[in-house]
Amino acid sequence: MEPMGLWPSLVVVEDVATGEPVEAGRIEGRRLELLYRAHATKAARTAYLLTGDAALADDLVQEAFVRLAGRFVDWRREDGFEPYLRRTIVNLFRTRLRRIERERERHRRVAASPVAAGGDLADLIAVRDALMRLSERQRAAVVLRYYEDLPEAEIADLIGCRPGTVKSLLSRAMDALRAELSR
Amino acid sequence: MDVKQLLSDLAERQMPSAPPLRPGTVQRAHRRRAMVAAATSLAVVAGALGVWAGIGSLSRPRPVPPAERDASFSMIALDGTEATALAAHGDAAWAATDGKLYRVAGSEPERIGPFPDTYLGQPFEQRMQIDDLAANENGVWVAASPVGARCGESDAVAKDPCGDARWIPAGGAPQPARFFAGSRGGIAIGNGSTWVGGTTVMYKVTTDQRDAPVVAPRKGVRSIVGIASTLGQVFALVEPDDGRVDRALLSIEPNEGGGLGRLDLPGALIVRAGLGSLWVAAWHEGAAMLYQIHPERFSILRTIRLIESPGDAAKVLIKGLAFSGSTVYAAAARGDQGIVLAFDARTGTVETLRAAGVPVDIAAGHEALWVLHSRPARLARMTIPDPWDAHAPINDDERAEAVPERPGLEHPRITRIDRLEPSGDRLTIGFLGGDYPCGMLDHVELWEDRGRLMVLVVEGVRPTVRDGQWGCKSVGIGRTTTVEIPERLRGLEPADAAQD
Repeated sequence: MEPMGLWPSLVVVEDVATGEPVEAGRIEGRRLELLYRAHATKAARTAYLLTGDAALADDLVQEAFVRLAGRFVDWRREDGFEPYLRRTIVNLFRTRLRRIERERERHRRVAASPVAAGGDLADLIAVRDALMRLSERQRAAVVLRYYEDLPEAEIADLIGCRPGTVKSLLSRAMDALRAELSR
Repeated sequence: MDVKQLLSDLAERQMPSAPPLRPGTVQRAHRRRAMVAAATSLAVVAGALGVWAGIGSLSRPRPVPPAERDASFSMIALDGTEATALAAHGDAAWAATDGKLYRVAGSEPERIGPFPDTYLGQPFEQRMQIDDLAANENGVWVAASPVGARCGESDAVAKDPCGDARWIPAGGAPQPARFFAGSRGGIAIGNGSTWVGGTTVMYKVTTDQRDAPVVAPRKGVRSIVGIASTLGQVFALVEPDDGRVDRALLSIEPNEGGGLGRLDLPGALIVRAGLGSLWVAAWHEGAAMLYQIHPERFSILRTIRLIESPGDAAKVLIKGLAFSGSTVYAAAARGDQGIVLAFDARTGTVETLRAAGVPVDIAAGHEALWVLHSRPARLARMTIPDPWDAHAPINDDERAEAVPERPGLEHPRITRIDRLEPSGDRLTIGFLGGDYPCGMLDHVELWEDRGRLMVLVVEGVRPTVRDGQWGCKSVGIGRTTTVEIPERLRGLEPADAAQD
């Protein structure tokens, strides 16, 4: 079979919905969907923790997949995709930092953004609100460290600062979160 | 408080699964794919005709003679005459003039304070000089003589970061007067502490903020000229008392204060940390010099001759250094003129900007470069283009370690590329890797995107490394690797996908 440019582990795949083997000729057209199914949920959760807004998180993930869609003709291994998607999400989030007006608009949306109903609704609202009160870089550091389990050096590279700054960001952010959540 | 669990609960509750892939996303992706394919075809044709001007543009550039031009600084007048110190963080800058502190975010300076008149019986503002400032996301720190003071623990955008209770003389409170040795050695933030350079000793401001013990004794030191901290290391530029040389840089153990190493740097004027390196500016043998020093190896990586001034021409004395993106900015005085030298650490080029007067200090914020002038005190602001996206090399190419791909490592992560050198069917990639076994080259990805050869370096961790130990080192180690370029991608301009 002629390689289709996707990484080897996905060159021959089963249809996610039916479990039937997918013909090689159809893989090209379904590449994006397969990638999306494999990685979008984790990416959306990270994006949500960064933005505090489910709709905006969805926007970020869709935009990230558009940006990545054309880049995998010669992809050799699957391992690199998840960190590359994560970097794209963080870059998109970070780009927003420069657009202050849009950021203000986002804050207005977050304030009105509903939290899904459930047993611990009040706790969830408190966690989200405490997270959103952090600065953007503190929030990114917390999410990447405690949700994505990344080491400080990689976080530093992702958010564009020195590792020592990440330590400081995390320390201050944790102090703030503890204070907020203990009220 | 289990933050990890809280975040997981919140994310899973709010985003139980990703929303469906939108039809619009699919269409946009298809259009992008078509655009990529079309651009690639054009690029390949252009490359075959030898008219692709961008090929190799990321390779080592040829030295470019310094250009001098007028910088587009906007001036902000400050109330006062003698400007002494400057710091910047985010969108704001803090400037000290005549013992007073100002914050500037827009075009109007705002006075911070006033400071308390006394602290523990020590007179304060009337005879206080602010020697140095440092700012980060947590606050503004002030080093003041003669008592050596600091403030902090406030939001960097707050108008008044220094309440009375936050003033603590360096040396601790209460401490014998002999510890009040001033703060002319400057102030630095790093390694979880704030460091104040006294006349002959260094103070470490501990996290509980009620103590500032001496960590570096005066042994062998006539005076401290400046201090800096980066990557868990602390350094002091000093005038040694052994007469061998006028200036030396000391590496200091951050807990016990013992000396770890010494580099003799004749003519050194200031030391600053930035771009993952330590930088020392000097005037030596008729030239303004910049030394790039690897903080962990404590060795000189590069010696840069910023500008020469031979013969009877005026000395070029560097007053301050600032960092943004891959650029080191040096504010300097040349006789009674002021200049700003911009050294691009990626390309090795130097640009000279004419300043509006003799500078006192320079600092870089999020998107602005600030230059402080004296007599009268004023602040110049210049917008920095795209400061987030750049990345500077820490090492020189000659010492870079050649490494092979080792697919199958754990914890894959993207690593930024330092240089790309295509040669026929081969591509040599220089990058800053992590320390073995925490950071090893997993593999390199190559693909085309709108006529460019996109290159992605993926690093990983050796699988035998136990959890919790794999993030052990953060300093960059110079590495190179060479990969074969697939035939249909040859001739395309290479680009770092991590920065795209």
